[in-house]
Amino acid sequence: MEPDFRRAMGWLHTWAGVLLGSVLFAIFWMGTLSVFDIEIDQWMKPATRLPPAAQTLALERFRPSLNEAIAARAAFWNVEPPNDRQSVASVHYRTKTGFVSHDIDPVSGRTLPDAGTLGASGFIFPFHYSLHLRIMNLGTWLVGLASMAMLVLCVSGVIIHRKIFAEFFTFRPSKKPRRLLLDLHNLSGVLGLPFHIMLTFSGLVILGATFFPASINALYPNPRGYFYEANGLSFLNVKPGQPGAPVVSLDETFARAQAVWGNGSPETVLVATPGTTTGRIAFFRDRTQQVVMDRDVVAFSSTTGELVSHPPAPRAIIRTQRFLSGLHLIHFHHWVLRWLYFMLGLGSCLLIASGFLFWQASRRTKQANTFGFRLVEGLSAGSITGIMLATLAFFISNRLLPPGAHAFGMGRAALEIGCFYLVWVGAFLHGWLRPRRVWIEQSAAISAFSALAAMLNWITTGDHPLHSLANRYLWPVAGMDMLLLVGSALAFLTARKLARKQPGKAVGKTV
Amino acid sequence: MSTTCLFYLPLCLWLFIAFALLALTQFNHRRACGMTDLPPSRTRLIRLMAGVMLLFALVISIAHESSGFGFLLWVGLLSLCACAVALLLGWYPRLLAPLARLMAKPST
Amino acid sequence: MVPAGLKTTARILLALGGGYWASSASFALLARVLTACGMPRVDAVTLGMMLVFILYLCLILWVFAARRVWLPFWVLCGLIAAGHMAPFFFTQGH
Repeated sequence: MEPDFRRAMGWLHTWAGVLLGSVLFAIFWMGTLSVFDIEIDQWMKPATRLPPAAQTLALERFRPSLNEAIAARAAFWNVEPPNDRQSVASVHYRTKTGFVSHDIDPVSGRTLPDAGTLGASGFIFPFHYSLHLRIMNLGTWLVGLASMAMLVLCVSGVIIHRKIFAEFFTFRPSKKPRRLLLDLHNLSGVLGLPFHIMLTFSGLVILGATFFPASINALYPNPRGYFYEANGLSFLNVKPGQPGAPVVSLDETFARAQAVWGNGSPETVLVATPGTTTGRIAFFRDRTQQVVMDRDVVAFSSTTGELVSHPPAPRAIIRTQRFLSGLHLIHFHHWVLRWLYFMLGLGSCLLIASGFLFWQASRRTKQANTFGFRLVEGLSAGSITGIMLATLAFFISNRLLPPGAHAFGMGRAALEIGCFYLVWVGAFLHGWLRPRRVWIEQSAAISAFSALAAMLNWITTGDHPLHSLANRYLWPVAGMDMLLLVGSALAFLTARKLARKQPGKAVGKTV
Repeated sequence: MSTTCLFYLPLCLWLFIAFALLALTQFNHRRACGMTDLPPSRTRLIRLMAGVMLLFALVISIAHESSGFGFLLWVGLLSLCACAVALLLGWYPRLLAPLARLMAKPST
Repeated sequence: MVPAGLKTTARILLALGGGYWASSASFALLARVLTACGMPRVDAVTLGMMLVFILYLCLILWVFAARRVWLPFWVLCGLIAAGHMAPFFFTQGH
């Protein structure tokens, strides 16, 4: 290859990495945690830690909530029956004032008290694709930019790697920190390359309609038309009807849906514009045993119970797109794969972190006192260990805040997020103020915070690891506690190793 | 639980051996195990064999799971097993010495 | 001579902005051509949505790799022009 080309790619790799590394780390970190979003939800909402019900609850038992939605003139109402990841049912509806969400006891059908938290599926997962920046969709566009940068980084990284096959398995723990960081970066980059590319690409494709609306606008009068057609939701394309119409029995309609499917259970039951004359009841089939997110929607009129639509099986192109979204969103239930995703996700985090640290290690002797170097130094600490600390602060505040807490005009859920940002900003400041000690101190803090989170779970709920391990339905809680404790131990070892090597530099760490 | 032990663990082991064979055709890793270099014909043969082993693992995992799960599982385990080989070579290369010795044996 | 900082800025702008605009335009063009050839419009759009990121990636890499920035510049202009000219040739859009 021409040296010029390689140099250009090297320049691109360095600067794209330094500029967008922080954002990328945040995306990959939150994405990795989102792999276990429902499990983290159970940890954060102790009231939902219930043994699975022996019998499924009849859909009509959710009628009270549906009636509330009708009274509030909700745009839609839906219920997700319990499944093997989540033993509680949940209902959601959107009114003019906001989004309402309740967890329902799978045995008694009563509404569980509001946990006062957004949990992982309400905060960590949306953060993964929107960075919690909703103004003008800025966060989503930033995620798109960072994802394109990730693809650029993957390709340019392969191009500038001189000995990709000769050093395929090379890892030399006894070498100097700088060499070790490069080994770690190469190893996690090359060996995880299929994962990095697959996940980044599929993530972009999922949000494709947001980033590239041009061809949709060329062929459709509005983007919603494409969305409905691609997802088999054309039954939603109706004029708003008059209110005051009844909603037919959900169970009887469900029996009809099952007749259409042949067999199968619903993953979601949706009532669109409930209580109006053009309302629709739709059943989304449970497809947790395949990667392709083909939900086989059957829709009925909610006033008469007539079949409205049942789209045919998708063609190859749509199926490919749904395979990509399925492999990204891990909609399926497969424990081995879920853990694989988690570990590979940590590998991606390690890749980004080691890249950042290598950039610094190779410049420390020459530019340690320049403004740019100091800036990146603090930035990398804040965006690597800082976001871990912030996430742990989110968990800790979840266990510490009393139910119904209210302060500074914020509710409990907002306070948890406030804690997250407070600690995160603190970590950045810490990185800029004490660059010599920041990695040691933040690793030690991660160790303390994780152990504290696991302890607080025990103290506030009584589910200590041994108890949760002994009960199958508490395994999500046990898994979370175990990861917190393992993370705590790893962070402690890292901090100790760094302190001994002072002024030696950091190695990657996981929580 | 039993399927986990009977399928995933042997699959991991299989991929691990395939990657270990690949790594041990490279001189610096052979030297780390205290072995000498292999003749080029043997190197080629072993690399081919390891490649076939990797592909065979894909076939097996697709046959055991569905095509989608099988493929994702294969891709994921590929990364992890290669990583395990690299870490082992970094910390305890001597553990792979028996395999390296076996590869050097004349095929009689 | 043009200062190096300005050159770099121009490249970044061309790669990110120009590349985005060009891939978006060619994506719209592709969707129109495919539907004109008889592919259902939902398939055409979805296929384009998967390919457009690959195109964008290639364009970005090319702008940064090219020794002189003029060739990519004119190609991008061509793609943009083609994409925006397309509505006049395909009238059956909606």
